[in-house]
Amino acid sequence: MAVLELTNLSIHFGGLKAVDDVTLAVEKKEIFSIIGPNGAGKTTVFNLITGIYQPTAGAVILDGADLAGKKPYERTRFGIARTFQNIRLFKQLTVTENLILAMHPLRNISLLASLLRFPQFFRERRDVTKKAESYLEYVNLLSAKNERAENLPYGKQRELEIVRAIATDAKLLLLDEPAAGMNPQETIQLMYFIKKIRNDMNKTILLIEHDMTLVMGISDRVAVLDYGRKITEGLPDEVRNDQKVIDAYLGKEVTYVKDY
Amino acid sequence: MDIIFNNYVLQIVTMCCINIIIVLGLNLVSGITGQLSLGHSAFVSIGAFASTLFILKLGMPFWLALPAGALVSAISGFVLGVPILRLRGDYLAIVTLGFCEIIRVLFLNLRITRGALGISGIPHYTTPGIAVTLTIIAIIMMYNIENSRFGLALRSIREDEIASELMGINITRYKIIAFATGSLFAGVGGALYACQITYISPGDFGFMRSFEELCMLVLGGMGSIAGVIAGAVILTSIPEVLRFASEYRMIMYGIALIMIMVFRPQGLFGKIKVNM
Repeated sequence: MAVLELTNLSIHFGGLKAVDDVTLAVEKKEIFSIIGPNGAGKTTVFNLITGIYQPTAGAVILDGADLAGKKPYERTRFGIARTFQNIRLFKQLTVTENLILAMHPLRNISLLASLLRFPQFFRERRDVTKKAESYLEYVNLLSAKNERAENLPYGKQRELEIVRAIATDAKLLLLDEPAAGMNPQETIQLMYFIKKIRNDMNKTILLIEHDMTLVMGISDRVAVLDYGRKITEGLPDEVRNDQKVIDAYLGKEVTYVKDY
Repeated sequence: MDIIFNNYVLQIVTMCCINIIIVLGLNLVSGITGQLSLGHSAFVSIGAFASTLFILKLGMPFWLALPAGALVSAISGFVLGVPILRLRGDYLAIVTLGFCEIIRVLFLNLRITRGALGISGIPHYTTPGIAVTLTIIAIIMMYNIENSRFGLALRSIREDEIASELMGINITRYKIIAFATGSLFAGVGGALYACQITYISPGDFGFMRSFEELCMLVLGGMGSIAGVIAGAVILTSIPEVLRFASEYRMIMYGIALIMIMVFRPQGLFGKIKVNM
């Protein structure tokens, strides 16, 4: 069964149809990419899935449950996590604190126990720190655990943001242009990293990306958006050779009317 | 010893303590949660008037009137917080400023607060011992709040509201709780203030006082408890230390503020930038 289904999803801002009648289904453990020219509505789809926008029409269905009307923080608890095009780490907090925050809804400690420093406060803090460190170990960031997030190199910040999304215990990860600003070498590393988390942790991954090396290298399936509409969907090779996709990216050939 | 512990010095120490408690509350709202409030003194006045009326009209003992007044302040912080904390940055600043003036005008026109005359003859209950003890408790509580699960969530709201919400944090709820808790601290400070000065009038709690509290916070360093202590102590005692300069002292006060902001914009003890 599909982990995520979008059915006839649309959002209109005034007269602009930013996302128009998009239907797609992402299967469990799949890496599914959404591509399309700038302004095609890709990030808007993410904002609809995470609940930052409410759709004008259509539905977002996660594991068979309709998420209509659910707030973004509630959707996180249902198992959706995302990263952002422009990295949104908690810059002035430490790397470990960033991960502990991702586990916020999973933590079980009352404010009273923290205020009066009951023994369970220390126990819970030790447990949650240990768990955060195990995630950091997974991405080789353990040595930077007490650094402020803003002091990490760019590529590491990207990885931290992804592992922060994983730490929310989400089953569905939405990655918004993870390769943006990376050089080809870093992009290839990222490609292996995304495959690795899918395989190690049984995550389903929905990806927005412009970098075709990455998209063609790791996607199981690809959907193409243009002007808010889904123009095609299929295996990476099918999509690459689709005339509609080529038209969307490069423009159509112009035919002149000769007889005047 | 008499020179150090004379009444004049003890009075300044008490005022420093009161201001530390008040500014700790403002720090929770503005320094830790990142919500700029220009109406903090409204909650100081609510705490002051409420506890004063509890003492004078209901005959409550001080140890009961102080938490009761603070609770009234916290409840009003909660009630105000529900509608306004959806606003951000400068909008929030303007609304809190407006609230501050509304409370002042309200107390100016209520019969029970005796309008512009103010309330005099409040029993002098605030001893330096009580002030120092409550300040130490307030500092420990604030430290523990900041380092709890709740405090970490508040700091994440300051860093990035959208990312914070996508970590599963109900940011509106957390902001309201932070606002109410900040108001609670303001209320404790207000109650202590009333029983220290023994006279309160609505004019004591105008927006100028809110700015003064914000100055203490910014000077010491937003988001830093050590900064709150330093800011409150320095700005409370500077006018006294500069008393020899009589009419020039407010100019020197202003110059001192400008110099610190030029050479240390993050405040004396601040380690973080707060984008409002």
